[in-house]
Amino acid sequence: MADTLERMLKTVADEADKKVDYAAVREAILQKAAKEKQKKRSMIRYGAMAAAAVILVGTGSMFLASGGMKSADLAAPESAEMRYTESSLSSGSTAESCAEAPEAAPMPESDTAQDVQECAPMEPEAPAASMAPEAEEPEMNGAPLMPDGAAGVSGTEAEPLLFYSVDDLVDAWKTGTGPLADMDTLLAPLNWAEGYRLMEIAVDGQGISYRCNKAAAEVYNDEYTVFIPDFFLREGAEPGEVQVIKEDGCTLDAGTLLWLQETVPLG
Amino acid sequence: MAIRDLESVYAAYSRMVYWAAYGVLKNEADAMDVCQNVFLRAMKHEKKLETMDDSQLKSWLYRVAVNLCLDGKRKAKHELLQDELPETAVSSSYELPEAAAVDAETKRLLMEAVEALPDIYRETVMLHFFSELKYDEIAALKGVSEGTVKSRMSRAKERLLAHLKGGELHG
Repeated sequence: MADTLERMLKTVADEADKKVDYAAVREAILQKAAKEKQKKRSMIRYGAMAAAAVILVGTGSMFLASGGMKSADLAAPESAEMRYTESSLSSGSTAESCAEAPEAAPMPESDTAQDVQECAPMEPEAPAASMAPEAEEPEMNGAPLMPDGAAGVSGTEAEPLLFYSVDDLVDAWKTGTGPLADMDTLLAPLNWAEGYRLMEIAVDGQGISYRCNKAAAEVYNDEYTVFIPDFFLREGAEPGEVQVIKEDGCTLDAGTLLWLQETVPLG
Repeated sequence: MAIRDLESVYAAYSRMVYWAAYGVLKNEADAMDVCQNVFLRAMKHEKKLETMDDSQLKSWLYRVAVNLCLDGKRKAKHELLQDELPETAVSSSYELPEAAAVDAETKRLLMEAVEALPDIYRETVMLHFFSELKYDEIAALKGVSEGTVKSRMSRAKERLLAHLKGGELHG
């Protein structure tokens, strides 16, 4: 009797175990792990940005205090100089590149300036028109500003397999390594939503996801991801539909996002 | 522990972790959540786990699983105490069928009976039959002697048999 019970228990246990979807649990684990990794990177990135901002503000203050203003006053009209100073303070490490030619390439005064500095190495010969200080709208590479919550078509979130910071991605592309080695161009998602900035790029077999984060002070939980399907990258940058997916997986309203107007050659 | 290492750890211990969690929670979805969280923790503590041998790793996973279950129960505040099983109208002349011929109703009754066992007996049954641990492994995990495990198993079987024969499980 006891042996029979043991066999019955074994049978019941095995059958119950077959019903458990361990593969789904495993997938969920990997997805959670990837998300946590992404969050960790974001936190590191914010820390680095904050540190860079503090250093830049300090450096800028010292520069102004040491009379650097005098020579700058001689070199440029007051309005242009002030624009440069303000943009360099607000755009983080952009100041280093802008410092060499401040009059020629002042950065737009907006949060999107951060995006510009992050992608600046990708566009050494960016059109002068878009960099002109007179430009009223901070357009980059022909990409117009998109309003907050710019529309996209609904879709399912691509499962990120690899995560790169912008710098890592560009480096990987330049050195011919990584998943972008065979891609000719990388679309630069600049200025797509006012007040947002590019935080991270995730690459998988289906395309690239650009994660944007609300750049307003101390508000870091408002973010969304724009997914660019692989065929956009391989077949050219036609203005068209992209999937706009919020961080929580909810999709935004259907529509067309038109910022894909120009490809930005790398290297 | 890199992702690739998690694969082997998961393949080796997911069943144990899941059924250990199920034995405490008696709920598939909750057990799955705990299973996920256990392996996420394992990934976080990769360096710590690299130094462990198999038995230590097994013990660590089991302990984390049980702790997570107990935490979850505490938070949810819905401790379910099933002191009695509903009576089942089974004749006293009931004979256990051969395992191969066990019908769905008998399996359901048996599973129900397992879930209704007192904690220490249910845990022992779950770890042995569902998590596929040997008596000495269960003894090591629970910090008791192998004799105690066998004794618990014996009592658990008595109660299961009593239940299947229509008697009271908790007497």
